Amino acid sequence: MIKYLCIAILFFVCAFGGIRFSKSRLVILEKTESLIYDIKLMRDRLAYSAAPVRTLLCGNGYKNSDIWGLAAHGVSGNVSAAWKQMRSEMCFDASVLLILDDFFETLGASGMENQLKNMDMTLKRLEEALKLLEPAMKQKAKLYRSLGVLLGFAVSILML
Amino acid sequence: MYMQTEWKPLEAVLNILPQGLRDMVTDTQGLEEIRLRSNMPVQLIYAHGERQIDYRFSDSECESFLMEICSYSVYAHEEELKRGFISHNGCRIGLAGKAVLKNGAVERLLPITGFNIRIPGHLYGASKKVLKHFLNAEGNPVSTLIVSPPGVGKTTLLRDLAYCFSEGKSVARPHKIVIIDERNEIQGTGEGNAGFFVGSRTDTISDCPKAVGMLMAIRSLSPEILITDEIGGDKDTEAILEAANCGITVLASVHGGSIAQIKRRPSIKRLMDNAAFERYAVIARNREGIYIKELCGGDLPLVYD
Repeated sequence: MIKYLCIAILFFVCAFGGIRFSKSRLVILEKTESLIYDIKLMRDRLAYSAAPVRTLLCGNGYKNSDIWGLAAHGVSGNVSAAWKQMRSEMCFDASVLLILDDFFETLGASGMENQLKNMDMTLKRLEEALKLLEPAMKQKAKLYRSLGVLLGFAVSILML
Repeated sequence: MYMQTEWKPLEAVLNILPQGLRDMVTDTQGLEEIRLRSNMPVQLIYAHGERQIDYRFSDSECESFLMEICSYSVYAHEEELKRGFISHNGCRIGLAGKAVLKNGAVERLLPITGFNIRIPGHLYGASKKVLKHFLNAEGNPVSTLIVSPPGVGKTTLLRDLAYCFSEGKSVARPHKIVIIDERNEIQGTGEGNAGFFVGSRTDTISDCPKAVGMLMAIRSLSPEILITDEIGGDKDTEAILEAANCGITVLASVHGGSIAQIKRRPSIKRLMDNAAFERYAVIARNREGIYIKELCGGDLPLVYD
């Protein structure tokens, strides 16, 4: 009886693990989409108000307000330095992280015209990255889900 | 009793200096300006003297300092950069460097090789000795143009006058004041601070060209007194004439050594010819404070304090 209970638990653990991994891939996709939304909003606010970087990043309505807030309250307002410190904790794809490196490097470092151009460029790069990421991430999500369930079955059979 | 403000501009200025330099600025009593120049000693200018500190700003430190005073938001200070200064927390920081021109106008200064940090003094009571010269027989303020060379205290005087007239100190009654604070020096608002207290009946239009600000104020804020600093161009003249013709009292300042000297400037002469101001006051400063060196206007004889 206990043996069958253990087998069932192991099966569910493996399947659950697979599903968790699969969801994490989808979360990366969602976060990248929300990043695009936030930067579009930021661009509009910048064009309208020319607010300083800190005020811009602390505005309401962002989907990733935790990221922008951390960057805004970074090293004496130097968002580029703040981003470098928090980069390793971000759950974005490597290609998206590189885009954000450039984004934070140029944020606040130029006049309005160039600032808006930089934001437009960032948005374009993110949209292109999302186009490449979407099929890859969805495929990975399917794979992890299937692997998790298969591993669960395999372990169950071995235990039996 | 004059109200105090908790804002300490000197502290705000010292906080933006590099740590090494901050530690070397030990004597801050009477400190009025800090001049930083690329690869030159730092110069501290006091009310009655100056001192040099052997701390040299490198070119990269100049660049970092510029980003710091722009709050890492160059675009937010683009217009100021074109005019050669930045307002940081109420302190005007003048810039020196190589001008980059576009279509004959200054696009920016790059690289920046010098900074002149002017520390505003919050001398509440600065107008005590001279207030009576700004009033008519009924105790109401009259349109006055304040004249002096740079650094004497025109802005400090205007600030205190705004406070006095807004709160009704030593005048017939409180007045509705609008300050056109183009360089954000009179009230000195900035990120995270409300600046100097200039009266509870005072509205401020800041970071706005004087001529545009004055017309906006006339149309929408119904001021009794308009206060603005360092007038000069034809647009300022037009706006002041508009205000004067609307019956608004204008208190303004202009750079100059004497009334005869400012008369030679066409824009000021036009104001004089059109009787935009009732009085012209040349101010000076000694250890006891600001005093009127020369005063004239209307039927007033010249007055020497």
